Amino acid sequence: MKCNEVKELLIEYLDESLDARRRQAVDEHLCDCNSCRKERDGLLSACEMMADYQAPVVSDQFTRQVLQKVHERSQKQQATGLFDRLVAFMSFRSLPALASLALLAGLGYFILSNRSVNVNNEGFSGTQKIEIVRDLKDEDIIRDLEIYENADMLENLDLLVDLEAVENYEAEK
Amino acid sequence: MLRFQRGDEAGFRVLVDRYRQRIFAFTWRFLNGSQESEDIAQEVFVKVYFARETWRPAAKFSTWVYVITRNTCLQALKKMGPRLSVDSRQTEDGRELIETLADGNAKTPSDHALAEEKSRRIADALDRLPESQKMAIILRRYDQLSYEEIGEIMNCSVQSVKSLLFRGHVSLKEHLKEYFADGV
Repeated sequence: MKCNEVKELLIEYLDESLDARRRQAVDEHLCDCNSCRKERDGLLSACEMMADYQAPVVSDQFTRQVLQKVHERSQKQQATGLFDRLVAFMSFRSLPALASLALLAGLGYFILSNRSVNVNNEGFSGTQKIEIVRDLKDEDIIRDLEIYENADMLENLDLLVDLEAVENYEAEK
Repeated sequence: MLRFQRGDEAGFRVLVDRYRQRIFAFTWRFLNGSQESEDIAQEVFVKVYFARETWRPAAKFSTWVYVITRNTCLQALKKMGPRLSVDSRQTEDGRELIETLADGNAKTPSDHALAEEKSRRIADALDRLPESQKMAIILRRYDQLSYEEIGEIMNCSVQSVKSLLFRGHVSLKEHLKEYFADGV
């Protein structure tokens, strides 16, 4: 085996993880190679030193504190969950109702703001315009009605005026 | 764990008692003796509690817990920053945690000083390693896990684990060389 191959296997060799065949090959190489032996010794010293690096003992309160945190988080999740469910409920269920309400409100506004009064065009000739009353005031509506009621009279008035003019003319003659 | 999964809350307590030292020791070494190590280890068990439905009996429970531990530690490292300050290793009374460890084994003041120095060098040497090499070494050297288990936890192949261990040990050897040379 070559030195770079042996060096890469040294950790497994020290861990006793190598199969018998490769272990023997490394052993044989180490017998003859001073550089690889030094490398092995350096790694071994580092591993032995690492074993002295002990972690402290965990506190007695550890388990109790874990249970406390679990309890707090459970409560928090429940509160958040209720709020989220409420918002979802309101949004989901109310959406069609809210949409309908909005539509009705818009339609009502549209109808009320653009209200048209149908003129009773009985007695009018087909060539006469139908006047659309836009103002909702009662007096306006009444006035309009009076005008339309007196439409015949107005028509006759024109005739009367013409007749009077003719009579006056003849009288002057 | 099966009992706990079925709703036996007492089973969770047993699990925490059984694994707490191991998980705490891992977080402590990985986070270079940080004072927050215990909080982070507790966080691991809280995550275990709320993720209990995701564990499959076919998987080894310890491997599953170590995966959660690994992810939690990596998240904590991101928050803490690349290097921990010396202050973060201190206890409430201002002494370094490493000193308190050294006290346990020291017989004389000089033994105490030597032990303290040794622990500090090891901690610093470990901390200089890339996260993946440090994690592989801690899992192998201190948690006695197999290459296969380490591969599962770190989500890499056995060959990658061997490579990480080799490179990590070579770096450690270089960092600790002066200590050997001093013959201390």
